[in-house]
Amino acid sequence: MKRVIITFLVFSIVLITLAINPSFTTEKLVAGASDTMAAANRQYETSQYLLASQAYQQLVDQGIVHPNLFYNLGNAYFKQGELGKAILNYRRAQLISPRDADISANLNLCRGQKVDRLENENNEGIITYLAGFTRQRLTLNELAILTLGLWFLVTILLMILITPLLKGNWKESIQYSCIILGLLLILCAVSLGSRLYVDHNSPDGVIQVKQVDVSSAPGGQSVKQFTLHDGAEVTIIEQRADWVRLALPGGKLQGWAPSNAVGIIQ
Amino acid sequence: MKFRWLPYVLVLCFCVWVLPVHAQAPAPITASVDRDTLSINETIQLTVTILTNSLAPVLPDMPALDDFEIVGTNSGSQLNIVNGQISSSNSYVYILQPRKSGELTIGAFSLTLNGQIFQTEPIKMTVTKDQSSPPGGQTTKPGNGQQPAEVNGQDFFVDASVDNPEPYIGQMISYIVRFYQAANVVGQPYYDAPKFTGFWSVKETKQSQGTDTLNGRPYQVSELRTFLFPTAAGQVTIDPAKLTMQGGFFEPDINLQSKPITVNVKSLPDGAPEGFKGAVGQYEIKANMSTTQGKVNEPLTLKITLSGKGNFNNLPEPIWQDIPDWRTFESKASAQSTVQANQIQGSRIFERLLVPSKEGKYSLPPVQYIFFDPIKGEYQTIRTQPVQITILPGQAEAPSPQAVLNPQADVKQLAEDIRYLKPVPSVLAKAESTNPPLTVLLFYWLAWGLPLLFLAGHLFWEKYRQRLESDSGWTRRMQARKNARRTLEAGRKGSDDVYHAVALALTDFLSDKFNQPVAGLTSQALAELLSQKNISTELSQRVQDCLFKTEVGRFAPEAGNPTYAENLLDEAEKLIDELENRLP
Repeated sequence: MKRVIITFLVFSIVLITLAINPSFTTEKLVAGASDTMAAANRQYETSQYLLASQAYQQLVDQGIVHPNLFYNLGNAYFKQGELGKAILNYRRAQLISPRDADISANLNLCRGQKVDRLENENNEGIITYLAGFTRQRLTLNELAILTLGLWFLVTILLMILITPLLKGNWKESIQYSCIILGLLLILCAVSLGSRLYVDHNSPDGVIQVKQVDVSSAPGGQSVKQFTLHDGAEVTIIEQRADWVRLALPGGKLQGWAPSNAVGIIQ
Repeated sequence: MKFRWLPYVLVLCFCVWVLPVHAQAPAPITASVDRDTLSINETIQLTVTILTNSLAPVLPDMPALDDFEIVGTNSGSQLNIVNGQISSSNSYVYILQPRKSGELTIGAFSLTLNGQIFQTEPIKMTVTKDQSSPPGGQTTKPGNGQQPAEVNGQDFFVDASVDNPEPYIGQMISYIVRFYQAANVVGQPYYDAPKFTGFWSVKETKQSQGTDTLNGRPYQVSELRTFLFPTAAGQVTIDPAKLTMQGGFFEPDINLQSKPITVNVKSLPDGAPEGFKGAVGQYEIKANMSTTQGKVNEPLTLKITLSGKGNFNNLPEPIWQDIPDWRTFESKASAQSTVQANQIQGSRIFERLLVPSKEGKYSLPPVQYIFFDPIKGEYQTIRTQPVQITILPGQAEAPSPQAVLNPQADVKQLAEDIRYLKPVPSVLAKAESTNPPLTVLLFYWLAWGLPLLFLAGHLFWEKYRQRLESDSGWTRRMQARKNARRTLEAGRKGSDDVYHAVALALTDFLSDKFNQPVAGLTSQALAELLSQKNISTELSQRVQDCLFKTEVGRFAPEAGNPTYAENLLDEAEKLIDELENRLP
């Protein structure tokens, strides 16, 4: 019996290290990207924010993903007064590097300057709340590994509990840890599920133009329902060719806006 | 409203009268009169002031004053000790009445001090014959509106006045309280200043003393001046000034009160230039930089000094302009003011911390200041000269200006800005190659099933083990073939007698399977037992044959034949396998 548990432990450890360690993925380096970014940083330092943002954006458009790149692009946009684009890029940086204090500081500064005071997050459902809560603390991968790791831990404890070798205090403490870890596992699993659900069904978006009218239907002829301003963070419910359907936090107000006015974070 | 002009005139006269007391010339002896034109019925006041460094009073030598009659004298002295230097000022006041009209001269007073002779200038004056005094006459005139109506030879009274009853907002006016006394005061009079509601007030600390004659009676006058800056337009009334003198043992306290004064504050005229922040007065502006050379990221202090007349404690900031390539921080402002010639004069220094971010030669743009000049009645704009400065390259990191200014102060956030750029990472790679989301990978979800598999296997194993321990019959059945084979193997290797081993293996196997001893059974009983367990008669017969052969082998001569034993072992093995399949 001990052999079974030990085999299982070794197996899980190998699996988890394999998942965490990114070295098994092959990296496709982009030639000259570092030089372009360094040049853009210098342009930023000499207050040529427009040039800097163009250079960063070019790297982003090539498919390069790095929190520092998104962060610097956000800074360059902020210096030009492009609040929405700044928020969009900070959000993207935060997705990859959720516990970076600089990113959240700049994001909060931007959010303090936007025009629209949207309804508080308190009105959101538990799913949206959990997704948002974990998003600021863990990346999706970290959350996935944490949940899986907890699941492994809980099963190991269950297996130990089944073997009649344990007596008295040991058994009791393992029982309690099993219950606590089990609850934690449920919480993490629900969070992971919410996160996947939200990311898949209603990704977040940021308004990127000074002002946009949100109407009741796609196409210019419909009734204008409300107006959003630069930097407003919304939820994307549906995407079509030139139009997106968006909803405000709380879900009460929703409507269609031209897709070029909204930047989608994922 | 008959005497509307009177306050102005009186104040003018007062200034003339009071000036010599305050603005002392360096000459040790001065003589002055309160005016130089008077009618023959009036008196003038001649004040001789002597400044010495000694404590002993010094008397001046009087000239012959033949043309005048001395109707009263008075003297006062003031002792100042400043930085250990003693200076005493003795003033002798003579109330003179001319004896004749025409051009009269008061001769020179002289003083001998340390062997040196000092002389005053002779004073010339015109005495007219007529009774009325020309405009600008002196306060001695009875029935003067400035004094309380009931001046009828009281020993004491208090009088309050302002020098300008119609000022603009922010224009300085003086509120003057005079205490007239013709008799000795027993105790120290206690002055209760009015509440200057609607004004910003600055009290002059120095009291001035003098004499005056009202209704032919000489009074000693103490004067206290408060400078007021109106803060709102409209009619503002200043409450009466109160003075309380403690009476003697048998006498009650004497309470004196002036009349309330109404000031009509005018609002500033329209057409204020842009950038006007409410400064009123007369000012000059000057810019001053501590050095002409600086370094990048090292803070420099720009001092803007505003000097002139006005309310320096409450002066708005000048118009600061952003300077390209410079970061500016407001630091501090200080004010100092003195009273000169009954005006507040002083300066306010605004200091600005400038931090250059690039090297080069700079000309800091002029700083503008806009104020309203109440005397000219118009707005004025003044500006500093541009300041030239050279910036040399300096350290890379900008120091916190707050820390430079005052290392002990709490750090205050001056402005909010985003945090600075992050460095270029060592690896810049495309999205699909760096950490793909695990949740899209199949093996991640397969990994979820793994613990379940292990858990199920573990459970099954644990069940099996438990039965093994608790159910001995089951255990025997399960392990029957294994034991039988072990026995046969031992026989084959020759460690045991082959025929005995085969017999033992078969009987033990059947005993284990049926959970009852088989060894002692007759072949008849064994056949019966086997048929009960649904073993075919053919198989049963083979078992019996096999057992019989073992007995033959043990005692018959064939026992030495190895082939016979070999066949028996194989047959037993086959039988055990077949029985295992038939029996559960």
